[in-house]
Amino acid sequence: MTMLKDTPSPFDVLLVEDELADARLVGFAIRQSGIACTLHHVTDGHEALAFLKREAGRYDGVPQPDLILLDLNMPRMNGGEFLAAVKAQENLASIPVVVLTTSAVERDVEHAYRLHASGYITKPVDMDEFTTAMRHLLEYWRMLTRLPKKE
Amino acid sequence: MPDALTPITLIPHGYCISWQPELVAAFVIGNLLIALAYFTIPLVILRFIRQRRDIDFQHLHWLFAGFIITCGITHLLHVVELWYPVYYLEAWMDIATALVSIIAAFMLWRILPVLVSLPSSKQLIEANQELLKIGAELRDRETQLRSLGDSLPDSFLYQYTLEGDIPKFLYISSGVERINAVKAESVMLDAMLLLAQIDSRQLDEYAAGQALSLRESSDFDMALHMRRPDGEWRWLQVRSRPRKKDSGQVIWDGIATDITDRHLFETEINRLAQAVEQNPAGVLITDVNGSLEYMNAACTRISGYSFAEAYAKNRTPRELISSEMSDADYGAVQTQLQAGRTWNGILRNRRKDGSLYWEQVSVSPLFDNEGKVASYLYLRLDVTEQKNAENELRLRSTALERASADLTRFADVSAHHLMEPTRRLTSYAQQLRARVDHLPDAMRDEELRTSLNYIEQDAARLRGMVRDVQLYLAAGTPRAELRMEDANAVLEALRPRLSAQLQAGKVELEVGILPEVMLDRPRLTDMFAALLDNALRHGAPPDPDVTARIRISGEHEEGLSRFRIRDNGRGIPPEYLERVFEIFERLNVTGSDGGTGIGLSIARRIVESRHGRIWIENDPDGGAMVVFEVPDSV
Repeated sequence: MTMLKDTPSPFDVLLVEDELADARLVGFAIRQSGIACTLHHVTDGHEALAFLKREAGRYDGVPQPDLILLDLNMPRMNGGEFLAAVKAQENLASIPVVVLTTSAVERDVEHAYRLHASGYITKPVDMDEFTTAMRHLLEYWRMLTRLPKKE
Repeated sequence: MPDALTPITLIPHGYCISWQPELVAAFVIGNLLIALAYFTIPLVILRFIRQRRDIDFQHLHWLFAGFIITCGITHLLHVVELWYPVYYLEAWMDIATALVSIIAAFMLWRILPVLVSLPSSKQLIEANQELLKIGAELRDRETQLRSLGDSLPDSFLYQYTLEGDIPKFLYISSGVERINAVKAESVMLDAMLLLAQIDSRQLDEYAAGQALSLRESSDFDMALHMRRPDGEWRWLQVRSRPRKKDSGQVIWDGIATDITDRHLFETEINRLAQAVEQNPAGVLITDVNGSLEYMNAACTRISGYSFAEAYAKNRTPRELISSEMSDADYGAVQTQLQAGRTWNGILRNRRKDGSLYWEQVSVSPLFDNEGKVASYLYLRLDVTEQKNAENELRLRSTALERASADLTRFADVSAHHLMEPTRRLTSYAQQLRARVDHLPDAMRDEELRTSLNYIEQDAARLRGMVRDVQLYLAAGTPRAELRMEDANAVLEALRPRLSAQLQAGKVELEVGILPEVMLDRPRLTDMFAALLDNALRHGAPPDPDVTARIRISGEHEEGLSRFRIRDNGRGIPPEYLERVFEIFERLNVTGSDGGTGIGLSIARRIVESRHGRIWIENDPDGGAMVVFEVPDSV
């Protein structure tokens, strides 16, 4: 697990991404966006599930994420399988998952939404665009998660 | 007088009667008259015999004449004896007369039955009357025969002879008028009226047959093809039998029968038989029990079995036709046939030599006049070659499909996988650029900047190419329902997206009334976007003062939609007409531009996936014109 912590914030983001280069770019984009958040990074679906389920005490003390950014093409457990597993767990199903991937194939988009993804973003090539996209995304979800929950 | 005849011891007979003159006179006259009468009678007999040659008297008449003459001589001797005593001579004469008389009497006894049987004149009269009656009956019969001859429906009777070499009809019945359309009387007068009707090609054969019949006294029999005066052709079966009269004259009696209908029928039957026998398809007929009745030459060619082999071995069609068929399937075939329906199938079969072949078999019941199934007709075609070709084709097309699918999948996957590093390359180059830009001026290195420029430039090019490949691959399959889409609506929807480009280049876009086209809407949009993009990029007029103009027109005819996208630019060199549609082929005809040249390739892939055509030509008025056609049929 890599922790990219800028400023202490109550907004926790879990990035599930096997490519370190991409994970780093996401880190750049978030930092440049100026949105305060804590980014947790795991490299595949298995690891992500372990993170969420607090398996073997490895993630004790780390808060559950407010938002999950998910890559689709990953070894071991891919994005789709992970998404299905998360949505099948009652206590985890409410965490919004935004798919963040290179693929713009309609089939993949449809598949992601059918598995109850909360959003789908094709990784922009241009860094400025990427930064803007990340800013809007994080602002939106931070606002949503901070709304008072209905009892 | 010799002494032996007149011995001295004897005395003449005149002395016995004392030469009484009246007695001597009576003796002389009586005996002379008797002798005269006796010598006359044989003459009468001989004359009678000569005139009635029909009666055979078995030489009795000679005996009669002989004994009468000897009697006559005896009576003459009686006269001589009055004066000369020739009694020895008379005695010898009496013995001779007795001998002749005895033989005659004996012969007469023998011939008595013949004499009794000689008809009496009454009998002869009766016989004559009988004869007249028979004659009348004969005439009656002849009349009857002639009327019979006249009333034969499809035949006529005739009788002819040869006068010199020329035939002469002695009789011909009136049927000749119906069959040959010539009058019987006229033919009687001139036989050539009839004989001239014979087909000239048969004349040699006819003459030879006639000559043979005359020479060998054999029957003449021939089918004659004859052309009537009205032009109608008839076939006549002619049979004549010659007979020779005592006079040496030869007469033929005969009958001619019109066999035109039969001949045509036989010709037709023969033709049908040949058609079946020589048919390239195997024809086989069995009875209702499946026993072989007929098979043509093609069957032998197909299966290797001759009819004799198949028949002798009593091979049923079960063995001949369906050696590899299961009993259950064969039963199903039988059931279908018994229900009066045709059965079709393609079977693998084994030839006599053991080799395998494919045949297409059609079995249908043949019905008799009462509508009952009388036999089964099998039509067989060797389809081994087609079957092999079909298999070959199927294998090849499967292999081709697999190769094509593999290729698409490979391209798809590699494009996708290439995209990720391409994207990161671009992103990191930008990131690097940002850092370099923030460096203090003192640390700026020109070499670093140039290298970075090249990295950025190639990253961008790589990105564009990978994206184009993805778009190109996606162009091969519909992205929405395939139906008749309104091209006008698609262009209207496309116009806002293009307006910036149109305004920037000051390009006029003229759209005519466009037809509908059988293409899914997303790809139809892609088509026009690609073609308009191409026109905008390459279609600028050489003279900057001339307004660039893009015109789109189209029509629907004969089951396909056709569109034309015309610009008024400089057109394209002929050697590029085909190359412009190749993937990544960009022609640098209008100077630099940013595209990778994938647009026309995508357009071609879309059109060809719908079995349409696309081409580019130079408009006679200047400028290039892209034309594409898409058929309605899916």
